[in-house]
Amino acid sequence: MRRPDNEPELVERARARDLAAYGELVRIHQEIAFRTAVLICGDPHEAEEAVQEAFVKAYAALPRFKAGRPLRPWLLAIVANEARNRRRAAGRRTRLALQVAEQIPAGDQVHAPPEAEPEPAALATERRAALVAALERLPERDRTVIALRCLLDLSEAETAAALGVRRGTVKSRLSRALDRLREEVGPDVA
Amino acid sequence: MSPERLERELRALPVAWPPAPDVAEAVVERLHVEQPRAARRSPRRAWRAALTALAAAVALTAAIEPARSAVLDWLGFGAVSIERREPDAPARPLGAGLDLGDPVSLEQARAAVPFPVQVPAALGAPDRVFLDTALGHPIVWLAYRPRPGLPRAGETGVGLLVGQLEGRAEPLIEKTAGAGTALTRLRVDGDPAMWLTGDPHGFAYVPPTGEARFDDRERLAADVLLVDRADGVLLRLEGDMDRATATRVAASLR
Repeated sequence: MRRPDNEPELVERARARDLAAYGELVRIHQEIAFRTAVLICGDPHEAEEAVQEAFVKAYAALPRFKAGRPLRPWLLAIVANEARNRRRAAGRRTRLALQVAEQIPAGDQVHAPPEAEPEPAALATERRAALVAALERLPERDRTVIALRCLLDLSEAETAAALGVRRGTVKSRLSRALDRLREEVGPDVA
Repeated sequence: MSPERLERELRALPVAWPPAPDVAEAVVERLHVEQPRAARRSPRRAWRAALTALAAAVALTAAIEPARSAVLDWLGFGAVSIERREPDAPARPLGAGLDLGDPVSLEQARAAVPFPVQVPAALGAPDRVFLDTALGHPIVWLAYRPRPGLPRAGETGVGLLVGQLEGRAEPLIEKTAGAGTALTRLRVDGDPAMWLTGDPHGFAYVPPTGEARFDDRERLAADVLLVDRADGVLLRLEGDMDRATATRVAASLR
């Protein structure tokens, strides 16, 4: 979601302890926060609790937030930290199981002329399945940076905030992770 | 395979995220309880704030509901499923992940390219505009959300893309149209045009100065109308619309 125009105003009001304004900010950012938490702790229930806890903590920390800056990276840092703590506390090694659905939506067939073979759609599905399977085989660290940057579409700054590292580190980590993924997925047969 | 291609493929994966729970109400409630009594606002304002929060929660639930009922398929503990189709509520801004270039305003696009950027009068102002300079010469993309007559194209959340660049589709059109593509020649406002259906098609053309280009970046993988306009602009319409709609839109560019 793009930064809404009235965000600075909402932040100002929330810093002045206006709970309605803060509720509005939570509503704006909770979806991306939840997805980030799911990617990090690997479990939707834990992720929900992490997000709720993070938003409660962020409210208390708001006076330390530098006004005028984008709120999202700052929030994501708190959310990701909370998600990591929960994952650690649970001692769980949950991995996200990414799967490609077998089913091809009926809509895809509509525009194929009668004489056309259905191979391309099947190939695309196969290709995606191979990609996801390769992603699954990567080490946790590689998978997380790829997921945050490419699947969740976080910016470099947001990914850095979520991982608690510098932007340059995100860049090099992502590049190495993509290299490994490319080796893993093998030559493009499509 | 290039790193860029791999990244593009990853970004194009339609991830069915588990539905995000609405925590706004719970957070506000907790903070209200935890906030020191002295810092609380008057009961009247607090009451109003609670009503606002409730209204926001109701609005959000309403917004989430269609996504829940869509193909979002939560496979259980620790699993994110990937569907070939995106949920009804698009999670990304219109046109994101389609490799359309940088989002710009219509004015910025017009200032950046040497040809006149036109807008289809049949549709009005585009919902988003992109400037694609990756191929060495600019392409302007106008993106429209789905609307009656312009159904959502596959998994992209886009109703129609209108691409404009300097170049000609002839004589390379045969290359564009592969074996699985059906090609129909027609005329739009007197200009030669081609209607392509079937397999996803790349985009072969000749820019005014350089040699032939083949842009194989798939966007909507939907039907395509190409118009070689007399003013040297190659028009490319991509969407799941029918041919009559496509030609009507193409003929309405002003």
